[in-house]
Amino acid sequence: MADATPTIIIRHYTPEDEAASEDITYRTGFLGGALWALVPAILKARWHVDEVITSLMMVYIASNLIVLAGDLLAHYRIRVKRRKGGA
Amino acid sequence: MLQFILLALQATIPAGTPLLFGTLGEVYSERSGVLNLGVKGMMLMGAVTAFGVTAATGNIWLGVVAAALAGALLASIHAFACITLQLNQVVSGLALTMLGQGLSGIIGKHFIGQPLPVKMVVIHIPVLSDIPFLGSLLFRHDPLVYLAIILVPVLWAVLYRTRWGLSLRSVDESPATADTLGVNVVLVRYLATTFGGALCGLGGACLSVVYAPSWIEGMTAGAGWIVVALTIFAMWDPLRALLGAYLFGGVRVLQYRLQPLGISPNLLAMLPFIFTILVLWISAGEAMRKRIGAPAALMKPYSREEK
Repeated sequence: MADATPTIIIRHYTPEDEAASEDITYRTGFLGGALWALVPAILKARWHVDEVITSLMMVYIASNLIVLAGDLLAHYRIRVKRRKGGA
Repeated sequence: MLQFILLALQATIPAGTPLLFGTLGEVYSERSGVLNLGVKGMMLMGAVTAFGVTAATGNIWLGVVAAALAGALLASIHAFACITLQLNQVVSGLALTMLGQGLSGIIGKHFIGQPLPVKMVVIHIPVLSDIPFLGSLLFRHDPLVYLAIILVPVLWAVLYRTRWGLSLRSVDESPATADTLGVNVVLVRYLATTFGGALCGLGGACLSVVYAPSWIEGMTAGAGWIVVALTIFAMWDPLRALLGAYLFGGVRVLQYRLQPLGISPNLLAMLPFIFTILVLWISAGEAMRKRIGAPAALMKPYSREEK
């Protein structure tokens, strides 16, 4: 879920070429997910914060952030590109 | 601008009351050494039970009592899993959240979109409610608000000034010592956890029969997790719970009030979760835990054999 945010944002700047665009989308998706998981991971490793609760909080933050990002994109009239023939 | 602040402050008290009930319950539960992450589940069950019973009987107080019982029942499952079976409290709490969420969704299916047949009365406290500004702010509320506020000093006094409270606090500091001194650790933990669940159920009732008043699936909207964070924020003290609950009640109100000004509600909805992580992070260190008086035996099941 978390990786969607950077994905949506980055996708806008991707080139017209569909294959290259998809490639970048996947890469940023991986990156976003990894970054999101890094927060509970660091907190756990460095300060022994319970990772179950922090990951759960990160889910809620992500779900709000996605809506926020979507709203911002819509507000600035940025059209999120969609693949032809599907969502 | 003044009007805006007044309206926001007026809405803060009803918005913060469910949080206050939940936090008081969680303080008692954690004070006995049982972390209950199922606050959301208990609140939702309380909310749906309060709504259902009120709709069926037409008596709002029956609904409120039923909500407390529903919360207590759900918490007693957690108590059984954590105290008797000595299972992982985080996992059991999460399971409780999901159980409450799913069950309340099924039970409440027919209540969606229904109005509540009766309305909670608003009590105007004589004389005091006529004070300009403060009167409408503090002394014109429904009985549940007053109940929550009266509970704060009562629960504080029970915790710090009575024998029961002493047993409760000793069980959270050192269950083995408490056991040697003749305190029934298992009983104290069962009672505290179940009582905490009942208060969470009341918090849910506040949402569905007073604040909304209607049933919406998943209507706690993050309140359950805020309660878990507030308990740490309040440093397991009922008096500080009062402060924290209304502070966060205010944030929840701003979420809707700032929307017309172009500030996304999602931005503010995110804050409690970020705050929870920050609170957990700050209170994680051993030295810090000692300083803020974190229950030493929190999340540690007690068994006589393992001394």
